Amino acid sequence: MSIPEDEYRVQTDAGPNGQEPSTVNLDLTRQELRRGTRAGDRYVRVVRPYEHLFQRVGPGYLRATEEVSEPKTRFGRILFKLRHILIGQPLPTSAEIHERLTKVKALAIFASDAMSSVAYATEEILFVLILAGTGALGYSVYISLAIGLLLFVVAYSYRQTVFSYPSGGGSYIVSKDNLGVMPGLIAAAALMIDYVLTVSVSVSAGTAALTSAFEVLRPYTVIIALFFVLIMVVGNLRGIRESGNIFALPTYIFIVSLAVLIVVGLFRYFIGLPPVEAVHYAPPPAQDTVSVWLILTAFSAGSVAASGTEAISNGVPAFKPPESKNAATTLTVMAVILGVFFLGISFLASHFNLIPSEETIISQLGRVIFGKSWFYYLVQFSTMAILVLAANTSFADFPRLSSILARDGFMPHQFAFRGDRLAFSYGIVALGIIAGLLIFLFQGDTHLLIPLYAVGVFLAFTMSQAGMVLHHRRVREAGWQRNMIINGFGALLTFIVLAIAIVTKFIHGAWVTVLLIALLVVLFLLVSRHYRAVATQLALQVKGKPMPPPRQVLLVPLGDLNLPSARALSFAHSLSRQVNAIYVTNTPEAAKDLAEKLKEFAPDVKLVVLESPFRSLLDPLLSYIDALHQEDKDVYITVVIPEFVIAHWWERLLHNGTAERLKRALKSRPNVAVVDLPYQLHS
Amino acid sequence: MLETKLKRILVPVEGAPTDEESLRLACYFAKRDRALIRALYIIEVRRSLPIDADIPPDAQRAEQVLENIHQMAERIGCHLEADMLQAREAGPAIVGEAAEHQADLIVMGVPYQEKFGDFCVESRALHVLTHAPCRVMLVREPLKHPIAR
Repeated sequence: MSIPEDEYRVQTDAGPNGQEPSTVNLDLTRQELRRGTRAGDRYVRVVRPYEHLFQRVGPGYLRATEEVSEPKTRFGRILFKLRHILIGQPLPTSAEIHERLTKVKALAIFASDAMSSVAYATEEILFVLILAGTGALGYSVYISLAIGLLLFVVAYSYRQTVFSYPSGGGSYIVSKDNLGVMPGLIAAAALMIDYVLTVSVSVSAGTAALTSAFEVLRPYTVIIALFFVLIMVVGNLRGIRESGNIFALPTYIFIVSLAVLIVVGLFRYFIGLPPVEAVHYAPPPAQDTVSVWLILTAFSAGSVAASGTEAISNGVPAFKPPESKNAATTLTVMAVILGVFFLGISFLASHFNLIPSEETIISQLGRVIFGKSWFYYLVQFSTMAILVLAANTSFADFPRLSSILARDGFMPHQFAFRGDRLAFSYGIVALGIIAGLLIFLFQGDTHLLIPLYAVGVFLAFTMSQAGMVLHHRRVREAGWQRNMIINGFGALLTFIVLAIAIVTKFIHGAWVTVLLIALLVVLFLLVSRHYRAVATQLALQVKGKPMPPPRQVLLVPLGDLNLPSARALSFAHSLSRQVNAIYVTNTPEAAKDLAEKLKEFAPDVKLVVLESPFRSLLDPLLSYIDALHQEDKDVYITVVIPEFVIAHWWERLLHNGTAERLKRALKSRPNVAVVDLPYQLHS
Repeated sequence: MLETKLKRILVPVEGAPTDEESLRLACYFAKRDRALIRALYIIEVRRSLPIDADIPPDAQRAEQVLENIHQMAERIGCHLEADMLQAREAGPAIVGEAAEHQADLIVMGVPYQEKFGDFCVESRALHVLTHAPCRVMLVREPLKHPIAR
């Protein structure tokens, strides 16, 4: 077979009416016959003129390039460029890499959430105890010891999870796997609320650290906090979630500076040196007496120190091998640092007689121990930084959890889509909006937000630990009884704390969290019900057999015989031998006129006139289609709509948009196929 | 080496280990002279088939090789165009393309082949060496086993 020079290959079949077959090659390639330098030398060059848009991977398989997504209009291009400046260049899916983390980097990434809570946990205890007067503040050390014990148990329990779920064992996965779907959803709802509150609380506390150092900024607390949230949203949309270097420096500066603060503070206290700077806030008048209730309230307020402990169990696959062992070691180191810091700060705050006030306890400690020196500012800035970074942990976890829930059909599928930079954009934006709203509503006051916090944290802990108990019983790995006892004890203890948190904080805001968890679970179930119903309706009833071709009636609604309608009639002919034109009119003369024109232009087209004495255009046409379906329920009615597209948006005001309205109305009718044939008008 | 300023360099590839070395050499000259590089993969079509026959396995391999070449070029830091040809024999197609695109240099890899105990240049490279209108550089693959002489 020989082909003439520059002739394109033909692959498509002829149309139903024997029209000219298309010369389009679906692989977007064409072959050109070339002659070589010697007589008789011939070869074929495979030309790919659209390589800038589609890279050909193989026969029938094309890969879109970045250029495909570039907008074609000038305004669109400007917006596109602005988005690139803000969010960054889009990344292909193949660029997704999971950076394996060393223990040092992982500690910085996963521990920032947990460690940052020492910045406000002691303060929360003191805020409760001060209600019974300054004399009650001494109990803070004992309460902190109890929380330290709780922290130890939670961390030890999560070590089991790390070994049992090397692919990542978030509370949702562990609960769903072992306790069932409903407990899994409760854990997921609790976690989502926990993540939202982590952002609100951490950013508010970080802002407080800044405004404590620079009082002049205090009136702008909400604006500063919202600005931090915005930075995090943009940063995460750019895809910074796994960048260890961003986290490492501030986290380690915080660890070192706080360690120095505690060590020097203890040294000064035991030597008996006086404070470098006297800090004294007038205590509020006592409103309560020391009671079991007060102590339990203070305990539940301070238990937020344990929040974030689960972060490492979520991210085990991100560790370098051996993943589980490295994750467990990092978890232990994190728990030790967190415990030591929390107890150290509580001890120093109590023994330096610090009173909780607008100035944070860490700021007061810094002034007492170092005065307003450069070191004081280093502590404040590193505290602010770690608190903001702690919020960023939620920006990694919330979108990931939403995507898992979306994949399981409990959240809108959009949450599972990755954006330009491979980040779960919907989750990131949703988290930013909700957290920002909370900051605005609570005016960036950490103390007001904390009561909402502990319930979600400890509910997720309890579900996860209870799930682990059943996991050990089911899997029966080596030493399962011992592991079951550890997780069982963890579940019991976290459940007790959860109960205390609900009881003591219920009227202070915990009811909001309980209500929200219930609402979220209902929402998850409703979303799931919808998706299941859709899946059932969309499922192929008979598998492995092609569907029989449907009987078809082809209609072309005409307004007049003009260029777009002539194109529509011509196109309709390529689909079926029998084309029917439909004309809706309120004047019989116009119908007669059109019939004559049509007889001359397209004599084989059958015209159906629908006279509409009440001047309605769409209703007679839609009723006619319904009537056709009444006659034959299985018939497919294909409506080829001729439409002209105006050049400018404002020209829309000059036309009645019948084609658009018709398309919308037909969409809801079964067995109706709409073929839109737009004709673009020039400006 | 090569005093003349080059404008167009042709690099025939075939998915052999010498492809990368040929490309590196071409990229060196392209960067020096701001020349354009065109990589070519030639599907040799059996005489029992029409010259424009669609041969999916061969086309897929060609796409794969060209994709690898693109990635290699990206790693090296140079830009190239890549094309696929179908011919009875690769040599005449390479020469034809070199003539049509007025290439100044062809850089191609050759395997180490022996005939009657002596090294011989394979027919593809031999045809290019004999008929190419421009300079030709061959990159021969290293010996798998050193020859004791």
